[in-house]
Amino acid sequence: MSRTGSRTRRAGGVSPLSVFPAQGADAPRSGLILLLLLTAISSAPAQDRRPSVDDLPPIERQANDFYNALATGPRGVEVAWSVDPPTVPVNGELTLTLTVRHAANPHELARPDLRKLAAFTKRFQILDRTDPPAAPDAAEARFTYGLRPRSADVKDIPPLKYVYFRKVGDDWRPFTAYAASVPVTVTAAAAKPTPAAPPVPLDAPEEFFTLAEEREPTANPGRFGWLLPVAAVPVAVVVWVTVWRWLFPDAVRLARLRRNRAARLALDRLKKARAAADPAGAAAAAFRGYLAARFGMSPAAQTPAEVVAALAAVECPADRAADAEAFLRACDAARFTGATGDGPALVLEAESLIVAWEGVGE
Amino acid sequence: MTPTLLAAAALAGLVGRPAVFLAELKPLKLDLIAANDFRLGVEARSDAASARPHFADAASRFDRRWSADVRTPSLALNCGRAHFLAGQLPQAIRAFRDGLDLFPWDADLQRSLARARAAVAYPTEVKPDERVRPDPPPWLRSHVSPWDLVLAASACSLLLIVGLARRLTARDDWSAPLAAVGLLGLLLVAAVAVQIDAAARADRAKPVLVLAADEVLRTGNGTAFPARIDAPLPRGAEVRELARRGGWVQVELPGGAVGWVRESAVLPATPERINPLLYVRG
Repeated sequence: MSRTGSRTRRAGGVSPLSVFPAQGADAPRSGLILLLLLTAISSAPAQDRRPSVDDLPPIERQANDFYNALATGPRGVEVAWSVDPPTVPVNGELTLTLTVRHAANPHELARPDLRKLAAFTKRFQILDRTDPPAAPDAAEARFTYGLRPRSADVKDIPPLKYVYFRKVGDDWRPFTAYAASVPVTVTAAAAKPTPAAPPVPLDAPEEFFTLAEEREPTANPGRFGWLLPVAAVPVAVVVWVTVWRWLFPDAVRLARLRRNRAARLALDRLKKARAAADPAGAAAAAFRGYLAARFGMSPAAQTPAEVVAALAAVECPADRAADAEAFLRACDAARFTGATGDGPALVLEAESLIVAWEGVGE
Repeated sequence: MTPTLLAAAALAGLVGRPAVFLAELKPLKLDLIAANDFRLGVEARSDAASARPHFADAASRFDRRWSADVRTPSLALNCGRAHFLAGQLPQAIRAFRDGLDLFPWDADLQRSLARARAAVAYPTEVKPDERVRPDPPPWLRSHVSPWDLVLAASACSLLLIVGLARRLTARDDWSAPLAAVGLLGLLLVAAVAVQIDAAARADRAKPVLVLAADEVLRTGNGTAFPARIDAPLPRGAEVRELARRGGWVQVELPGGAVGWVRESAVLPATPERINPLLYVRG
């Protein structure tokens, strides 16, 4: 190192003593002034001259992680990484910039070859980039690199060891600066744009593509709504019967009459007689049946005379026997004279007789 | 419904009741927006990828109406259809089922549910109790509406009234058989009503859950338990809830097998509401 320092001195200045020899007794004082003057003149170019990496002996230049940086100031050389962008997908590209500050020889600085640094090659694929050379009086030098992360596991830019030489006294001594690690975020690989697939039509039942029409809401009958008409049954029946009795009082009497079995049977037969081919004959038969069931008349009595006799035998009132005889004769007359049009009237007459004899409404 | 709502909204606004006015307008606005989203989806149906977002928007709006508004079969139908077209099969089945819970007799809902179920990849059951394919709905409940019961009860009551009244008045021969037919009809109506009510109660006792994603049916409430059946339950499968414990739901398959699935794998049940005040004739 001292060799370097002496070499620097030899190269940087010229000794005044070798130029001005001693001249007599007055010479020391004037010679001293001249010496100082010349020293000042001769040292001025030495201070402006920038140190060069050539000032270092070749053996020093071979130091590891030395990129020709020299420093003259007390601060030494500072190096730092910067990354743009800090987040990049796998196989995406980021720009890494190494900034070297306070180097005395920025124009001489060598570009660190990251391809030779395993810490970088393991993490990144290094891409070729070139930078313009720095000016000799530049405040800083920048080196840019293109990096491509190899995987999403990459978390940072590794630190960079940066050796430089600084003049201490007359000697150049090695110092080490570090470009600190910088975090980076590597995301999953960006999906490769796939060629646009042809649109796929929506597959669904055709009716699903229409909106259902809103329907008018009505009152919900509820769980027990069906019981409402059931509850109306007794009410409706009572009303029906009441109205019917009010409208048809005779029918009421007939209804009472039907409670008597003999009368009910006779009335049923009379009802059927209306539609019979021989209404008068059917009415007479029904009436005879009634007399037999109601008064115990012999069923063998068929003619009006036989009926009157049979009724008398069972002590039936004479007026009723006479009415019965008259009715039966009217039936015979209608049957044997061919007056079929009298049939319905005879049926009604038989019903009237039965109602009258049963005393309904009396 | 729209003219009714418009008229109600206008009337409420006219008489100076802004709250009522806005309350009436809200579902109307939702309706219009949802219908518009649905229309946009239909217009883009030739490209499923671009149509589905529109249907999803429409479905979410129909969902909001279902949660907040009067529930009608058509709303359930539209909600389910929009979900289906948006590719949300479980939600579609859920919507159709929600509609059928309230209107089990609605034929459109039944048909739509059947079509949605056709898209579910039910596994082939090895044993009968492992059947995942759902049972057909109870016939009576799915075919007889409350109004049908009322109509049938009215007809039978009419027969009974006429029969009884004639029996008590004119004593016609046919009156007693007629009254008997009416009475038998009413008994039949009562039996049907009881049966439908029992089916509805059974349905409520074990609410149906729809699986939102394929899920393994396990023998216990933890992933350490082995699978109850080999094939996972498919997305859209319907199971009945028996119990819940620690983020797991004990469910019963339609075939009868019982197992556990994660709570997160089933669609949350739609909040229950009281029986709808309104009824829509199908």
